[in-house]
Amino acid sequence: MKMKKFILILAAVIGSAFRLAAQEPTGAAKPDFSFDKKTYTLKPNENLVLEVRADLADSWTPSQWGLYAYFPNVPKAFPKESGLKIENPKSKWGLVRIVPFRRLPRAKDGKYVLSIPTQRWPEGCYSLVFSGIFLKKTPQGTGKSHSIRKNVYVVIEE
Amino acid sequence: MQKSAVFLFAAFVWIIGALLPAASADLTIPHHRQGPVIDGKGDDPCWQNLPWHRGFFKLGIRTAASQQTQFKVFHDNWKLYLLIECRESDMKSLVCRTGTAANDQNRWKDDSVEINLVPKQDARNYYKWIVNSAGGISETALEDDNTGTNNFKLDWSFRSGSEAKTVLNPDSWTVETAIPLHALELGGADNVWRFNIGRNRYAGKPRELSSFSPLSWPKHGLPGEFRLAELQDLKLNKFLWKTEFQSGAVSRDKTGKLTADLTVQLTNETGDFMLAGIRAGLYDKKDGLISSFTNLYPPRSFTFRKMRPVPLKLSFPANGKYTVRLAVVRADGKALSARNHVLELNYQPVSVTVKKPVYRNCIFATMPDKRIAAEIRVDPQAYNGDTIKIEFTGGGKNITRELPLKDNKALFQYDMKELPDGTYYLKCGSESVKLRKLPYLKGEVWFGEDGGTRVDGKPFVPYGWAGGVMRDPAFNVFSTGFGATRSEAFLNWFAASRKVRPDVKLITTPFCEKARTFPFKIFNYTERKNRLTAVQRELIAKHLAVIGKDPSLFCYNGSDEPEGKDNIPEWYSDVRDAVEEFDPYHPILILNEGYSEIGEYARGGDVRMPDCYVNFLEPDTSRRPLYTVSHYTRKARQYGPGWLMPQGFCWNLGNVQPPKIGRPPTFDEMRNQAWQVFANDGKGLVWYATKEWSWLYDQIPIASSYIGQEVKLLTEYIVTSPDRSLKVRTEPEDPNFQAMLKRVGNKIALFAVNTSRDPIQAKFQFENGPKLLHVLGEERTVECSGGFSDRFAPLETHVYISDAPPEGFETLRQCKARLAAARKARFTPENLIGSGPLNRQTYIDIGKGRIPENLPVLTASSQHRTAFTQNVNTLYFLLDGLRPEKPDQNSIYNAWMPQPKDRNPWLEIRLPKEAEVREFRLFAMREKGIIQAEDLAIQIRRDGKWEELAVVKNNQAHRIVIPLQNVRGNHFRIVFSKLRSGGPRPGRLLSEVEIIGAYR
Repeated sequence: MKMKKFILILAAVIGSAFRLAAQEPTGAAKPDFSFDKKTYTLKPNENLVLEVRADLADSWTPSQWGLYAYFPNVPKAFPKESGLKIENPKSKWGLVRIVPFRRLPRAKDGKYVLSIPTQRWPEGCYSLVFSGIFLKKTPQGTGKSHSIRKNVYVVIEE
Repeated sequence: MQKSAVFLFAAFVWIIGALLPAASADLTIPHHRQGPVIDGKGDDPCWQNLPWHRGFFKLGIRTAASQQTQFKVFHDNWKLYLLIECRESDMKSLVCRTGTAANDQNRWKDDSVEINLVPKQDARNYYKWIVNSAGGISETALEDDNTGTNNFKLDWSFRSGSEAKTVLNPDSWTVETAIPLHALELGGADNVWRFNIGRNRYAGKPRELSSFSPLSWPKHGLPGEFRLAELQDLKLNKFLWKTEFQSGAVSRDKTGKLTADLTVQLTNETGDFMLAGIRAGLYDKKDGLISSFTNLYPPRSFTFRKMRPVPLKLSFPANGKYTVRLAVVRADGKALSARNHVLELNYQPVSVTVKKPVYRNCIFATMPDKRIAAEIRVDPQAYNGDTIKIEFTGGGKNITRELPLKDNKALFQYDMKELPDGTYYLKCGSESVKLRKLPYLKGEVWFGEDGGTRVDGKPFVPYGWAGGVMRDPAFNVFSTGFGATRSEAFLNWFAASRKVRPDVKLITTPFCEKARTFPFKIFNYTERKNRLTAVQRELIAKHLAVIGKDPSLFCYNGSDEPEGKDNIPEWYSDVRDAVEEFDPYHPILILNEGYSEIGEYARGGDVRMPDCYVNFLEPDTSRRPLYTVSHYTRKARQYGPGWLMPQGFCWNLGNVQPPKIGRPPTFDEMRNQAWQVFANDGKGLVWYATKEWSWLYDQIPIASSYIGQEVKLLTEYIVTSPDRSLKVRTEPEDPNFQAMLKRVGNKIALFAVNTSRDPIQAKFQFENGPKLLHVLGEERTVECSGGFSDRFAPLETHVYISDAPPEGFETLRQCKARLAAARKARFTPENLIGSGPLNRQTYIDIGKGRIPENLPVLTASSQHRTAFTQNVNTLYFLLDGLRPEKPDQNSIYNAWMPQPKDRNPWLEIRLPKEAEVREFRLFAMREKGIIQAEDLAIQIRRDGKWEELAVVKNNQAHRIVIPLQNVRGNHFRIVFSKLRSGGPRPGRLLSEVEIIGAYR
């Protein structure tokens, strides 16, 4: 009896896996995005203007984006001087939340122009993390989410 | 009258200028955000509000140049911009032979300007750009040649990416130039640099060389005299990077194209986070670009002091030597650092590398492990198979094996224990490697995998002096520049040295010529600019065949800072191969003074022993940071066994301006230097030098002897490999704090050195340590539980050991008390001519006639000066000089030595004022075992005549005491009427003279 139940559960799991795989046709790539520049070179206090091009199949919908940086990957004075929100301040891998997660609307041409102020950012090199969250469209609305993180390289110098 | 007044005024200004401390800058180089367009016109807005700097002097004299030059200068934190206007009354005669040819080394022979930048105050290194009237630019990096003679080695391979344009006007020519700063070595530099512009004028007659900085000699190359310039708002940190090349694989593709896959280790020293990559170009011997490579995107993240590998791929046409110009580039494409690296690129489809034994491919009789291991690498493009065949032959054996290949590599191992002595070959394809199993030779020297030395199989830390052999058992090796015309003379010298020290180990030259002259002809430094000749090789073979079996021979040294003599590394590499071939039992060392040359000449020796003199300065500083010793040691160890030759003498600072006066190292600085060597896994140390200004200063023999006892106690630890589990944190943070943990069995030794002049608290963490550690020489212990914390006074060294020091081991306190007593003993009460040891600069000043008022005036019939006492009045060594009763009188080089032909020398002493004298005490030297002073007399000058006061006949004593009947006077003479002969060379006669009495 127990064995029969186990086989049924196993069959259900395998079946649902196949069903999920069938829903995700091969070639319908997961969302991706790219930036307009390899490195952003800014003067102090100049806005960081990111042109983000999203490569998004119709089966995905944009949800949220955010920008943050880990302590070791920014000028050492940045966390304190920027006045931005800090998470895990005592950890070596503490994090500066530059742009908290916010809604990402669907852009007609897949292009987003995001302007981030850099007031009080000290001169130096920054390896920031741009995070985008996308949701899978399902007949019921939206399903599972997919998160992408990419580095944004910034040099600020007078 | 007017002229002489002007001259006097100029002389006054010069003297005042020389006496004033060089603290404030002579000019300011402002910061502007925007640089000009380099077109020679100088009409960009950035130039408009800048002042002209004027007032060029003729070289070597304080006279205004007849054709004046003026300039403007600023920087934008990336480049230095200069606008230079050369007034010229004879524009038609401008000399411009080199035109615009890049980096022509004869550009200075054109009408040209020389721009000089000296980023660091020690003025050991500087940079020069020469621009002629056509805008042709040549650039070179210069490094002090370590002779204290204001001579600099020129590196013409230096490239900064500078640009220059010129404009010719009716009565002037103008240079506009931009000099990038990233190619300069800027570690240790601040915002005050030495700066100069020189001008070479050949238009019109006579030629005129002039300079913005007033220079004391008619040469441009006096960086220590250049004016000080403050670069306002200068931010240099971004330029601070370290780059090291790692060897990599070389492959050939199907088209035959050769590619080197290398790795560059980049270390961020900028003090902050950086995003960077690399840009590289491979250049041939003619400076032609062969290939280039960029690895910038995505940029790599470099946290401060993080070392990261960056792959570098370069294609090349054929095996050979190339120069890689490597730039560290910031994420936005701006260059942060640029350095040259010379690489030997060799493609071998199959290569055989002997991994064991690690030294000379030789199995020595005293090696406990006689197994060999060789790695065979194949290029998969050239060889496809799962196995590879090797053949091992020799000693009547012929072993063939088919070795499995994994990741294109195979390993061959064989125990040679049972094989007879002889030569063996490991063959794989066309590759063949020679291995030797050697019969025992007494005193055989080899290196272990740890880089440590073994003599007769026992751990050995070479610790001694460059100079004569001493009895002091603290020292076990002596390095000498001994040269003779016959190899047999070396054997006599070895035997004579054994009479002083039966266990003596000597470092000597592998060169000997059968000529009747010295110095060398065939091996002269001028004959080391090409590969080793057949004649030179044959002479090495013959010489080594005679001396190579002597048990007192320890090591060969055929080099003395070859980079400063234009000698090529390949010549030394050939010598090393010859020594290995003809005497496998004794290693050869290579001695460089330049940091980068340690690597360049590394193959020229089995051991790298650079000399690293930090140049100690009055009152308590040094020209280079004390931690330079650590840098040199690490660099030396990078290429295998490494020893160091640190500064154990008072250095003459020819090119450092007063009031920077050289001084000998203190006791603590001696110990600090030595333990820096061992705290960086250095395996030996030879102090420089007894013949130089060393024994004159009591702390030097006493400290070096004390350290020798420590080294002897810790030999096994020094020889062994470090335990890398040690973690050290200091408060305040100091990257130059040096520490190393060594482990022998279950015992440990920890060497820790504070190289800063501030106190430091250090916390050490390591595993498997004892509960208690003894601090060597300090009569204290520290409790240890996974580590411990300890305080370091400025420059302090602590050596922690598991075991208590043996009974009777002298403590630091006792040793320093002994030093204080020795110093006190130098001053004899009532000695009218006591001075204590003077610093070297004072001896030089006296040599120039500037005798301090409190000292007597000494003259003599003659004095023989050596290379070490040039420009010095050696008679003044007799004031509170050294006492030859000490066993190691051999090390007393600072003494009075009359000329060889002067068989009746005399010494005249004028006291500062009249005194009542009751005794003369003379300290006579032995030369070749014989006291030369045999018959002598003391005389006094009265009424224009010499009167005899006392006579000594047939003297046999070191210490000659001559009582007088309370003689009044101030002018005395010691006359030697008879000398014993100590040998063919001039002998040192006296080391000290005391006149006992009182000024009344």
